[in-house]
Amino acid sequence: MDFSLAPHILGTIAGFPITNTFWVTIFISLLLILVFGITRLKMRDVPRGLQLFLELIVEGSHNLIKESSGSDKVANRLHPFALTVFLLFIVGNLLSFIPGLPSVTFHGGSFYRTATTDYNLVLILAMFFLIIMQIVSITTGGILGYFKKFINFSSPLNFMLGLFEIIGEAAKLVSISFRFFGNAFAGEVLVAVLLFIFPYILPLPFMFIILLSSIVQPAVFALLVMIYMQMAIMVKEEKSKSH
Amino acid sequence: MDIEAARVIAAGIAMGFGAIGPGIGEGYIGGKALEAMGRNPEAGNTIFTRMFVAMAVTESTGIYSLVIALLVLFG
Repeated sequence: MDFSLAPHILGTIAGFPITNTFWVTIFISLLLILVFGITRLKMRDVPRGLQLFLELIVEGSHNLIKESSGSDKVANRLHPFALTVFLLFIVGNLLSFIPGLPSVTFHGGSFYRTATTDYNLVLILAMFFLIIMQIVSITTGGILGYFKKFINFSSPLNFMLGLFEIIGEAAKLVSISFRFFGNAFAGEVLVAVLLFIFPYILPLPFMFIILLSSIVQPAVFALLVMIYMQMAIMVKEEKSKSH
Repeated sequence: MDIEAARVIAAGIAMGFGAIGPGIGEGYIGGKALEAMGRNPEAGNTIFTRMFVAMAVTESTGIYSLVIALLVLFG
């Protein structure tokens, strides 16, 4: 058995390495854009088939965010990002349940690899999300309010808490990305190890657990995105109440 | 000690100890959620989704040790 944390490089285009997880990520993105775009163009007043299913996803998630944030405006702004990340991860995870995909090899490595088992994708998305969160925090709370959260000289205790706040922001990056990567990668390793011990039968019950976690983890990621964003926005609401 | 043997032992220790905390925490969350659902069955759906979020957050320390163990083994 050989596992590697780094994805296999299939080839290079103008010095830029194309890895197996890279093309899978691009493929999933294009697939989502195509499916949603075509459905949008062929939209009917009375939905049926694929449109019905997609409307169920979009409206259901919008209602969920609206219920938990309690305002239509916040929900409208948060919904596109949260749902996009959710769809990218869930499609990426579920694609690995198509049998036989990893056995296609190319240049001595697997041609397909589940996109989320590459730490780069999860880290970049988490980083991107944290940068958006800082921007949201600045635009809603003002630049002074933003820095006051981290550097506060009003009392020694507040100063220490501000320092912890900085560590907390950095820890969010690790906690979000590690959680997702750990789940996806451990699933693959677990199935491979169990296949080695007792082929065909033993991995089956574990496949159900992995199926459950590959559906729940994207939802948790989207929910965490939502909760962190609401925490970033909340600063302003508290202020406007006190005025 | 052989470096390979040390790596395997380290991964085992990291995963084994890392699983204790999340095990206790998730059991507690699950038990409390079931208790709440038994007391108020109408609120079952909202409790269930919140239970999942809380479990995922509790699980994170276990997953950190899992990632460390995997890094030690295959990194």
